[in-house]
Parts: sequence; structure tokens; C-alpha cells
Amino acid sequence: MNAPTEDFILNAAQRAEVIAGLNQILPVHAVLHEVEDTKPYECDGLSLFRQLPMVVALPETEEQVIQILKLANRLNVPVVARGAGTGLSGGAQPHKHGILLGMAKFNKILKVDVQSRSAVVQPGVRNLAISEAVAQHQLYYAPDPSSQIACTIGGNVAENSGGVHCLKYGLTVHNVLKVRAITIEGEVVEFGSEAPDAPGLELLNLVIGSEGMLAVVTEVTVKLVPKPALAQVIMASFDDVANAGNAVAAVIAAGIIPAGLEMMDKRATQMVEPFVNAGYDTEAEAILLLESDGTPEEVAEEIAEMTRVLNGCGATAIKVSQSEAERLKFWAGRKNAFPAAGRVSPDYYCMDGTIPRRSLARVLNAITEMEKKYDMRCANVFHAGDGNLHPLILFDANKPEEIKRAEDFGAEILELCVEVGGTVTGEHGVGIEKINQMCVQFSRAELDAFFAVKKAFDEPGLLNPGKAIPTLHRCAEYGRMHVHGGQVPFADLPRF
Amino acid sequence: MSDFIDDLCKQVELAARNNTQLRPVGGGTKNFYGGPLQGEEVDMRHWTGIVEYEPTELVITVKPGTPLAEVEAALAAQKQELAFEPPRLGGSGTVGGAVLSGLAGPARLSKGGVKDYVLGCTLLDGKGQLLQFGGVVMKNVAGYDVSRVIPGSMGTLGIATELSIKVMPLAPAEATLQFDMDVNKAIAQSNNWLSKPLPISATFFDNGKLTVRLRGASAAVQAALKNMGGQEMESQQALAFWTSVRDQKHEFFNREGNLWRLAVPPTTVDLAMHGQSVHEWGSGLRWFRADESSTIDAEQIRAIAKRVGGHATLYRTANDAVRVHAFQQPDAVMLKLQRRLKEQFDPAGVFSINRLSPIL
Repeated sequence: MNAPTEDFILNAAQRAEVIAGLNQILPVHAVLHEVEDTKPYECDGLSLFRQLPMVVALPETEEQVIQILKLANRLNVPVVARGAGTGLSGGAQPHKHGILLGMAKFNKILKVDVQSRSAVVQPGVRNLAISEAVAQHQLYYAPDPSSQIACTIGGNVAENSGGVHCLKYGLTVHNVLKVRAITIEGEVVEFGSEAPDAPGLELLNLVIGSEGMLAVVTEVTVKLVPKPALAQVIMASFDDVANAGNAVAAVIAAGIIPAGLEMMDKRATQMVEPFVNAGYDTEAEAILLLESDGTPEEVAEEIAEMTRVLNGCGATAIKVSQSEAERLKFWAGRKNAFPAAGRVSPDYYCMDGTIPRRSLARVLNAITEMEKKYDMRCANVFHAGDGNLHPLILFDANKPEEIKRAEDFGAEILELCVEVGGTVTGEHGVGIEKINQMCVQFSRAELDAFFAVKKAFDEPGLLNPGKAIPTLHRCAEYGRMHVHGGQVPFADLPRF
Repeated sequence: MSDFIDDLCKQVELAARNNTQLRPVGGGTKNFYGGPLQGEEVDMRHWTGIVEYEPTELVITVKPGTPLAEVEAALAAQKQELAFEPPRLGGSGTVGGAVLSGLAGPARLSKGGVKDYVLGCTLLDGKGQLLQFGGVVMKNVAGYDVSRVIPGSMGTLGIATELSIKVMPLAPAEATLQFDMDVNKAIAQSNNWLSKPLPISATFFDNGKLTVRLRGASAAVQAALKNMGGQEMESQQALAFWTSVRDQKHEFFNREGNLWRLAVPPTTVDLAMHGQSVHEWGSGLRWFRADESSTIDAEQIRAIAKRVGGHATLYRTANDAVRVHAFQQPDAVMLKLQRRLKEQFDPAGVFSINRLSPIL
């Protein structure tokens, strides 16, 4: 499946001109245009959508990025920036007639300032590498998307990545102070500031989560957070998903913001347990994982309070991690839910809707009904704290009729998410995958407003064209994440 | 659609056609802030009410004309709050004014700014269209995050007709400590503490005295009280003190002369400008008033702020003639992008012309 490319079609002579132009900017080994060289770039973490780029450019200086963008602007050639390519929505899918701008060589941490709790890093630096580099100062970078060992900060900025700790610590948008970027006109611009605010309109907030469509990021200043002294996790069992949902609300109502708050239904725990041996209660209809962090005194106080609330909500069993190893084991099960799905079923679709928490029981019950309607199994993992639901629909793509049924199943779930006041994507991004679903969530005027934002930054529309915002003629069908036999790129990465 | 909004849409279309300007206003408590007021007043206090508030969702949806006090009372009844502590200037402010001005109080240091809490916004643009951005959920990456550009936009992009704001539970415990130290020691010390897992919620430095507010779980506050030293302030006195800082009733804010607001990287050493200065937000926010004898002018203050990586706003002045340049100009490329965005949302220039910048 390809993005529409009809707006930008190059003939052989134009193609040669682009490659010659790139060869003047970059050393010869940094311009790839033979199929065997460009093949590794044909998709990101969403492997269903494949497209060879016309050419791959691998700059290593900001000046080279500027020159490449000026070239692209002059020759009217699309540019798709790419980090580690771990994204799940096809946001980094190449353009057939475009330049794939690989930012992997921008992999240096330029500055760590302990006193001001910030670090300046290049966009190709891996998320986890930041926390590793500052661990000696008892600091870390809070957003922890599950692909954090591989995904880059540039990609995190593009997607406004979350993680399991965002209820308490926020998303990328809450943890990035400043972004330095290049516009399609080849101009350097800095969004945000190391000061608490910047003059005029705060465009940093538009750039974060813009899926590479507004500017190309060359430097990111991130906020660092002091590492809590201790973290502990409660695993609570429930014999009814509605009770588990009510317990989540009750914890929040008690004034507690847990560092992590996750839910898994019975199908998910039974799928994961043989794979990870996390110690989950596989008889429970749902389990909750609740993390508390802080000083030992603070954690003890919060764990006691959460235990009281959970018992009051009918928890059938409660277990508190007694060691760091046990805490990590509890999380390992949750973090391996996607690979586990790939193990029990030839294929699965992962949905990424967010719903107001109060609708949880309604949505989960509706999904149970849909299982009967579509005669298909669905395992549910849920960032319960912030309402982000990941139903994993299990199916077999070798049976074409099942593909259609799974698609319809997923479509119905996302429609329901929008209907109860939620959104079609909580954290995986729209990319190419969910572009059609945007039509359900937004009116034509709103989609036009998004195009207007795009136009303000990128008048010729060359940066990552065809992604995130559907044109009128795209408003037709729903997307999905399709995984065959666990054969995604980075299949070994945990996925939340 | 309600009559009020229906009429407002027509009013905007008409203004766009006739090349006239509109100026939405709430309680008018921030009329002193930003560039000069221009255009026909639209009284948003006719558009009030809490649309939806479910405490366990940590979100409140309101019509922007709702008095801030009403929203804060509704939250307080559920032991919740607006974590960014919007200043209540004069007490009659609206939630719309609090959000669109983008001004935050002492807890900005630990809890983040207004933009960190806006989850969704319905915006009436300069073409008279109602556009809904974001939503009522915390995680939402569908489309550009236009809602988070609204805080601090001073109404330049359109009229907000509905706002969804993330709310937070009140902290169970609070305590305030005071320390005697000079300005550079205070800057270094606050930032040192902030790089440790301490429940520091706010700081205020004034005239050789650093005041630090702790907020969080009682065990964490107790542990910090034990470890940090200093002099503990009596709790009623501390409450009154922080309220005066938040609402800018503190004596410093009411002295004579132009009041400057400098946002700088927090570890920046004292800027040594001749005048009086108080610091908030771990010294990331510095209020400044020049001595009468000082010859420092706006351009010099802005140059100093810019040199250290910050910017300076002429926050309050009795001289209307200089208000047009209340805010520091961003760099040329940034200004161009802001200008283009403004043109997209408000091509006819209906809203808040000159309030944020002479060219927006």
C-alpha cells in the first residue's frame, strides 16, 4: 500500500538531477540509490506499508541538511525524515519520488547540564541513551516509549511519544524544552527555549507530534528529571473488568497519580504468562499494575493507600513487588504483550484508541460482543491511567476472509472510541496507517485547518507529503497495524 | 449551536468582510498586559458554564467566559486544582483569560505551564468557522496540537469557545522554608535542590531571602523539611505569602515604574541590572524594575535577556505609548512562521491585532 505520489512525479532526467545535486552536498557513500542499498529503508515498524525511496541521503552535519532541503525545495522533491524507523504508523514510509533523509548519523549527545537539568542532543540519539548518559547524575529522561532502546529522540519529537509513565511525567511535549530545526526553505529556526517560555506564539507545541511534516529537527534540548529513590508495583486482580475500571477511577479520586497504571484483561494475561512467567494471576478477569515512585517513606505511604482503595473496589488478590527484580518482572509481562500476541496467533491488528476512562467497561463489553459478532479473539492491554487502549485482534492473514473481518472489527472499535469522546490514536501517530480514520474524528473544516498549519510551515508541501492529514479523496477507509507471524521489523522490541 | 455562538460566528464573518477588528474580553483583568487594545469588544462573560467535569477523568471542559473563581471552587470541592496556578488579578478574571494569556503562578516550576494542561480547544477562526482541536483525553496524537498553541496566544488566532483542561489532585501536604542568602547563591542552591528528588513546588527570591514551597506526599515533605535546613514558615503565613506571589499582590508588584518580566534559563547568574528584582521558578522567571536613577532602556534590557538565551516582556507600564512593543520580537524566521500561521487562521486580521506583536 502506497501513499499517493501523483503530486510529485519525476522523470529520469529530473531524478538524475536530484542525485547529482545530492552528490555535490554529500560524500558518495552517503547517497544511496541502488535498490539493494535503499531496500532497508522501504518501511518503518509498520511493515505492511512498503515503498522504496527514490534516493536515500545520509547527512551528518546541519549544513548538509540545509543544503539538501534547499535542493529539494528548488527541484520540488518530497523529503521524508527518518530516525530509527521504529514507528508503528508508517510515518517514515518513503516517498517513491522523494528523498529519504536518514538522520541516524546525528547521534551525539552535545551537552549535559546537571545544574539546569537539561541535555542537548542530536535527533538520532536513542531515547534510552539519554537516560544512560545522565544516570551517573541521578537524572533521567522521563518519556519511555516501549521501543526506547532503539527509537530516537527525533522520532519521539515527530510522534509526541508517550510510554507507561506519562500519567505522572507527561509526554514528549512536556519534556522537551527546545527544538532546533530546518524549514523546507533551508532556514534554521529554534522552537521553544531553555527559558520557561519563548516570545510570541509557542510553535514548539505544534512541531512536537507533527510527524515530520513541518520542519526537519537537527537538535533537541530535553528536560531531565531527578531519579526517584525507589519504585514499587502493585499487581491487583479483579473478577470483573468493570470493577477493575472502577478501581482505576477510585485511585484517581483518592488523589493519587501513580507513576504507572496499566490494565490487562484475562486473554492478555493468559497470552503473556507462558511467554514471560511474570507471575500474573491468569484466573482473574483483569489485572491492574500500579507503580509508585519516590522516597521510601513516600512509596510506603502511597502503596498502603492504593492497597486500601483497591480492596475497597473488590480486588480479589493484591501482590506488591518486593524487589527491583520482581518489579521488572511484573512490567516485563505488560511490555511483551505484543510479541506474545504474535506467538499465539499468526497475525494480529493492534489498535491505538484513547477513551475517557469512565467508558472503559462499556468499550470492553462492546469489544466482547464484537468478538462474537466477528467470531474472532481480541486481547486487551490498556494504559488505564490515561485511557489509551490497545486491543490486539488475533487472526490469520492466510485466510483472506479473516483479514476483512479483522479490519471491520478494528474499524468498529475505533468508531466506538470516537463515539465515546476519545481519539483514533493515542500514541502511535496517524502516519499513513490511520490517515483515513482522521476523517471520522475531524470535520472537513478542521482537516483544512491542519493543511493551513502545514502550509504556514511548508508552502510547497514537500515535507512528508501524504501523511497524517487526509485529503478529501482519502476519506474513505480505516487503517490498522498488520503483523504477520510476528514478522515486524524490530520484532524483539517490546511494544506497549 | 447556541444563539451566542451563532451570533459570534456572524459577527466574525462580518468583521472579516468589513475589515474591522474584534477583541474578545473576559474580566478585563489583564487589559494592561501585551500590546494596546484594539477592536470592538466581545464580552465573553455571556458565555459561561462548566460543560463537563468528571473528577476521575482529571479533565474539566468549560466555556471560556466562566469566572476562574467558579472553576477553582468546583475543583476544590473535589480536592483538585488547576496545577499551573493562574494568577487571579483583581479576582474577576475568567478561565478564558487565564488560558489565553498563558500566565502561570508559582507552581509553574514543578507542574508545568498553561500549555501543558490544555487538552482541547474549540476555536472560532477568522473565517467564522468553529474548529475543534485536541479533545478530553490526555493522550491524543491525531492532528497537529493546535490546542497547545492557544495558551499565551492572546487571542491572535481566534476566539476560544470551549476549553478542556487537565486538572490535578491537591497535594496532601505542604510546607514552606526560608533561607538567607545572596542572589547568586540562591540561584545555584535552588537549581541544586531541583536536580534532587525533593518535592519542591515553588521558589521565590527577594532581597536576600529565598523562600521554598514543598508540596507532595506528607512523608516526602517531612523528609525534605528534615534535610534541607532553613527556617519553616508558619502555615497560615505561608499560604498568605504564596497567594500574594501568585496573584501579584506581593508588595514588589505594586511599586512605581515599568515592571519587566524576564524569562531566562534558570541557572543564569544575576543579570546585575541596576534595579530591584525578584525571582520565581528556580530563577527562570525574574521580575525587574529599574532604579529611578538608572538609564537602562528597553532595548538594553532585551539585549541582556537575549544574550543569556531568554526574553523580556514589558509586563506593566503606565506609559501606553510603549505598549505596542510589550513583547520581545522573536528571530526573523520564527516571526515569519508566526505571521504565516496568523494569516492562515485569521486572514482578514480580525483578532487581537497588535496584542502579541505589531505584526501579528
